[in-house]
Amino acid sequence: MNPSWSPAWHAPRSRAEAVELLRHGATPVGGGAALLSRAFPHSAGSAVVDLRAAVDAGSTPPVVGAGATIASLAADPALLAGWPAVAQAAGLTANPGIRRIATIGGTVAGRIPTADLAAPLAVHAAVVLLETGVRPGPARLPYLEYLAQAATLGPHLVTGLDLGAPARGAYRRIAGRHGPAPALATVAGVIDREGRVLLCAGACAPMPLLFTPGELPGPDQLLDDDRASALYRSRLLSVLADEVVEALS
Amino acid sequence: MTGDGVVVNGVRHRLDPAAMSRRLSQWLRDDVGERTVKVGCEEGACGACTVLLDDEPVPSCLVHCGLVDGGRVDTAPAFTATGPGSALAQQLVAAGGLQCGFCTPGIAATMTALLRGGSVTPEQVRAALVGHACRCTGYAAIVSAVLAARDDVATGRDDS
Ligand SMILES: Cc1cc2nc3c(=O)[nH]c(=O)nc-3n(C[C@H](O)[C@H](O)[C@H](O)COP(=O)(O)OP(=O)(O)OC[C@H]3O[C@@H](n4cnc5c(N)ncnc54)[C@H](O)[C@@H]3O)c2cc1C
Ligand code: FES
Ligand code: FES
Repeated sequence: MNPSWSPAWHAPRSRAEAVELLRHGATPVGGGAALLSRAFPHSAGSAVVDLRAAVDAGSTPPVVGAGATIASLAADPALLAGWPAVAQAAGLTANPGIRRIATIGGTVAGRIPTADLAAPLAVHAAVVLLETGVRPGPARLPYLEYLAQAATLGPHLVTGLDLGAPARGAYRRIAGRHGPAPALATVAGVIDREGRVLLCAGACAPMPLLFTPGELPGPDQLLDDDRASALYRSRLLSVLADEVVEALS
Repeated sequence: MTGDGVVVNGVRHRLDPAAMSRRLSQWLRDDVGERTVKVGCEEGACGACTVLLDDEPVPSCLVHCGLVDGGRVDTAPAFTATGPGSALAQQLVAAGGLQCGFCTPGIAATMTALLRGGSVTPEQVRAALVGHACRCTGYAAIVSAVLAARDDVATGRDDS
């Protein structure tokens, strides 16, 4: 951000006021971590909207308010017990300082392809709670549908997430180095009500990929870029999937 | 947190409308004159700009001033004046936990918050260092300094 560039700051008192501002082209600010980081392409227009009065910052799983920080999710006892894959991924997102400021709303709406939370949210069949500028009132979209449609939804406010039913789960990631670095591949797994293991691969394809043990996504489905080849990513997925399945057995 | 300005090191500062969407790090340095806040990457990766926001360490380059309106920010001169932060500052010097010192105010913010929380293990210190880059020390001396400060605090050798 250019040091002299300072978009107009709006702090609406209600959700309706916030949605109205978004309809007029203002940029929503969650924690601001992606918006302000030079490492990400996200940027604000001529006006920004402070969402603190518009979205809930608390979480009562299965519902998590969009204003809840990633750090609060990683430490939430109810989440650790009922949605451990989500809590584990939250605890491995970025670094501790960023986790204290980044919100779940900004993380979902930011749609960073390497997001740690993507695979756990997809494998839990989480639902994004939102309000659009087009049709008044709350709306719900399954997380994977949200990822596919967000770019065409027009101005919208993510108000929270419904994580769905609790399930035993586990999460593993691998990056180019130890510590905070964008993941090359992630795998989240849960055991569904029938006792089956469901898995999801993240950070290695344009969208999270659901799969079952023994039916790994092939290299043709995976990203092949300067960070890692598709073949290498498929090998990583195989190792991560084994680790997740072992953690769940 | 709205509308009252920001209390920086115990002194209340007004936020003018143009400041609301600026980086907290920038405002602290340029408007408040807090030059101990260092700016390295403006990406959230180096941790040099870390300050205590309502006692929590955060990278101030990634925080809009508007989100801090009504809050309290402490920078190195304030949190190293007494208590665990003061013990830490002394031990960083004694252990060679700083050389050029560019990373030090940010690391001190994070470690002061950790020490204020009570008993601290070497693993916790290493985990808290994630998100801080130091190009000079190799980190080991920083870990030693934090653990020595922990012992000073436990035995009442800090000046709190
Ligand atoms: C150094 C660094 C390392 C990182 N490492 C990782 C990592 O290892 N793993 C990982 O998963 N992520 C990582 N991240 C990404 C980080 O998790 C995101 O930047 C952060 O979660 C974004 O949350 P936020 O609340 O700060 O979003 P913001 O920056 O506030 O917003 C992000 C985007 O979403 C929009 N937005 C915000 N809130 C809403 C809302 N409620 N409704 C609609 N739109 C909204 C904004 O307009 C913007 O376009 C890293 C980030 C940094 C800076
Ligand atoms: S300057 Fe803020 S993290 Fe590097
Ligand atoms: S002392 Fe020089 S960067 Fe840490």
